[in-house]
Amino acid sequence: HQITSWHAVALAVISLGIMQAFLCSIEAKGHQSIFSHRFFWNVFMRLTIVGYALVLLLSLYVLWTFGRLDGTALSEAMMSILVLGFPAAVGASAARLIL
Amino acid sequence: MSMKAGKDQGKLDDAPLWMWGIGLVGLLLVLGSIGFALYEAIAGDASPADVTVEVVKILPAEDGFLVEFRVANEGGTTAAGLTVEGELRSGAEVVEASDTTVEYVPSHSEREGGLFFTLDPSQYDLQLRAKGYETP
Repeated sequence: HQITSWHAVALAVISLGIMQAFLCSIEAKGHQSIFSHRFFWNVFMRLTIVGYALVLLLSLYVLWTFGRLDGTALSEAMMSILVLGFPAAVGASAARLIL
Repeated sequence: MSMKAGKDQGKLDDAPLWMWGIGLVGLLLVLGSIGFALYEAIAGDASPADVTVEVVKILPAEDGFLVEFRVANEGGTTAAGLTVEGELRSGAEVVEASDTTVEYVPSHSEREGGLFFTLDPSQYDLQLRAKGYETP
């Protein structure tokens, strides 16, 4: 739409970054050094990536349900998914605080 | 405290295989999405909007007739505020004209709309065309 594909890529990277930051600080629980290499990758693969993948799938589902993807090309749909995925990802990782 | 840290580390390492499998699927999904968006950013099609209009259906309406149309934008740019005009012609004479504005037609996408006429479009030569748009 009005954003370029570069904006969408930046949003995706930022979403992942925010998720990773939230989850690392929550998971560390004060015990572990959040900068240990192994810990970082463990959280990333287990929680951040899976969480973001779920966020993308759910964004796709929500957009499709409300007819926002009707007759839209894949590139446009992808951008909508990534844009919707940004607040969803932030919310999802912040929710881990409560749960 | 260091014992707890060691135990947590062990807990993460013992993650069952299916957990890594799901992680892998998730990774593929995420990398695929970002990769696709990157591809579009670098090598995407940025050609100007290329709009075609076609008639979907003609229906009787309360005050006349409704012509449903579909607008397709084959170009690489979004067309906003697209004006679609329909004319009923008899020979060279325009008997009736109606127009409407389609708010947003993204690239490589379709949108649908309708035009109302008081006269029966099947009796005349119906011509639909897109008149203009703006780039958002």
